[in-house]
Amino acid sequence: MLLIAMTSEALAEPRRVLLLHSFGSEFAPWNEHARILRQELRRQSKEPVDIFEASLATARYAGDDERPFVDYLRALFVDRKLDLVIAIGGPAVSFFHRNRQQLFPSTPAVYSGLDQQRVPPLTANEAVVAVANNASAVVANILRVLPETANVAIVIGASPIEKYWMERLRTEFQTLENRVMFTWFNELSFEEMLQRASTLPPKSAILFTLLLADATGVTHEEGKALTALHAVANAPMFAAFDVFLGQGIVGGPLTVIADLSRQSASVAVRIMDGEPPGSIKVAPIGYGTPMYDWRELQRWNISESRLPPGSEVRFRTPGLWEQYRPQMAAGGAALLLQATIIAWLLIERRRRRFAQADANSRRREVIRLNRVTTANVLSSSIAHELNQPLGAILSNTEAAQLLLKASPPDLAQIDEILSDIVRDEQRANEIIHGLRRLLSSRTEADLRTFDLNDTVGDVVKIVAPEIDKRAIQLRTILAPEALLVRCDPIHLQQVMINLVMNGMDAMDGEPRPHNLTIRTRQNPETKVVEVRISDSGIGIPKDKLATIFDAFFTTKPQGTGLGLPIARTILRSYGGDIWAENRRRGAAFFFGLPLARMAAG
Amino acid sequence: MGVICIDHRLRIFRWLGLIGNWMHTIAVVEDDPSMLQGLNRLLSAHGFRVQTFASAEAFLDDIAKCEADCLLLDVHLGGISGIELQRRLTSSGTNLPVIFMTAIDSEAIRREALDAGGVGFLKKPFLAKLLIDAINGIA
Repeated sequence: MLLIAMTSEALAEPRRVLLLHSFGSEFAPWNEHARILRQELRRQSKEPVDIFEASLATARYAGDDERPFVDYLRALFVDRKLDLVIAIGGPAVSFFHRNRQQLFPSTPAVYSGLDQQRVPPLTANEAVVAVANNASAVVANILRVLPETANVAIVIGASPIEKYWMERLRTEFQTLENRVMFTWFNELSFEEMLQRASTLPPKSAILFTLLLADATGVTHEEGKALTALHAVANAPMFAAFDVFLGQGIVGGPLTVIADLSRQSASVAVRIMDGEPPGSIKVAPIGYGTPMYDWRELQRWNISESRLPPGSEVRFRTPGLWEQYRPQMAAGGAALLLQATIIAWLLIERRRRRFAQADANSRRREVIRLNRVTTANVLSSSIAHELNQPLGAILSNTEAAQLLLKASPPDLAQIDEILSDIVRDEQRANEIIHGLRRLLSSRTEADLRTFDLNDTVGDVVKIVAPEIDKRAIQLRTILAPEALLVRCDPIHLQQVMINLVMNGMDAMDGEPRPHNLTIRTRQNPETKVVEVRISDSGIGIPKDKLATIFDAFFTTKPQGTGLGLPIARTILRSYGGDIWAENRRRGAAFFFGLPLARMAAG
Repeated sequence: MGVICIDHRLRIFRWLGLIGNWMHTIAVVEDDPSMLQGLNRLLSAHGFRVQTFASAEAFLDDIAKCEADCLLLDVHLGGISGIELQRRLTSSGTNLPVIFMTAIDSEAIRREALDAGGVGFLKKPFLAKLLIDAINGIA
């Protein structure tokens, strides 16, 4: 039991890790590195991790005595077992490496985030996750995206590590000095840096390297310096760490701090899990995929085509589409639906127009055929009507021929005869003309405004022979005023002839007298021109009153059953209608047409 | 009965070869004024004496004064039709030769007219020669 308890107690003791910062835990980009590192250590380690943190003062102030700090660190772990030391950045690594024997000679160590060129000779108890910095590549990126750049202002502080870096950068940039001029801010206060950044000459760029402490010794934590500079800078800013992307830099090849942190944590956990540090080899963390801030590209008018292939552009200001995707998608869908419906309706309308044109032409043809049928029925009467003047003409002509042979010829009588011939010829001509109009096959209705009473007169002329033949008493009672209607006069004639013929047929075989009356009037209330055609015939069977206007209804053995439906079709097409009723003796048909205004021409 | 006398007298004159058409009197019953006038002129020009009537009723009213040798009668008259008039004349024993004329070309009408006792049938319009031949055929 005791053994088990002791074992579990031993197991329960957390793994102690000392994070040794070069400059302080809150300086960018190392603050972000430390944050992710802590997070990753706790996530990746199977055991609880107890993290101690300490920052070197010597990174800020060169020449300080390191011993009190060494003592402090030793004191921290006098009674506690330290499992791992993680030194972050070049100064911390140098310090620890230098003082390893006094500090924790047997404790494994991970050197994280130092430049690969600054890696000290390692013992078997040490592993390294270095960074492959390449300042030239960073400047090359500036010249790639902004080829006009003639001046690069280097923002860098004045602390020992920054001095180291300044010297190193100067050396690296020597090869670029024929292309671009470098200005160094290392000797400036931050105020002066802001001033300079806001008044840079054209074709300038700012490269933000490190700003831990400026020339006056003021430190700048959490990357706030970059944000402040960006606020005033009149030139695009660049940096080499991804943590600055989004805070004002244009972008380019960037060290991804999270990669460094995760990799370092992984090495740390492997060591704590028992792997010999010396056996763990990790390639330096190089630049990741080039990344750019879309807003800065826009601000400095940098075309995306300038960016290296495969670059990633972040912080794209969402366009309308990105911002209102659901609304726009819905709107788009609605538009599409609407367009589809409109297209469909247009197609339907086209189809309908064709169908209507087709139906119209068929209707016209049926209407015309009805006129032909009517004319056919009337033909013997019409022939009779025509043969009368022709007979008179012939007799008169031959009489005149004989009179001319006499000596002296009776010229007065011949003159009289010729006048009669002319009159009869006109009479015949009128009949033929009327018949031709009735039978004409026109493609369009001949719309006119005219007096309906005139049509009654025309119709009476056409049916008169038939009326006479059947010994029918025809009466016309016409409204004294002109009844203006607007339609095709031939159509109106046709309607009336149909009704008159129906009336005449209805009286066949019925007791005499056979009376047919055509009456016209204007309904004073409705402003409708009404025509009433009544007969003294057999009448309409009561149960058929509703159906007589349907096609193919007929009571006549030789009827087509189309007369009334055609009449209705014609009238309705002019905004009118037709109806019927029985009288005490016979039937009466009524039809109405809207009263037309005075003819415009 | 006087009509028969006229007919008889005409035959004698014709036989004697002494007379022309002027000797004949033709009664024309026709309700179309133009046609009636035309026939009047034509027959007069051919030397006939012509009596014109606008309807069967008018003819019947004046039948006493009629001196016609031949009746030129329209089939389709308003009121009493031509065929009806012929029937009445026949039934009253008036033996006046009748030449029917009509503007309607119908075999049924033709048969009806001839059945009613017509001696000739002319379809309007007709040439004068046909009319004269028909009149001369009677004599």
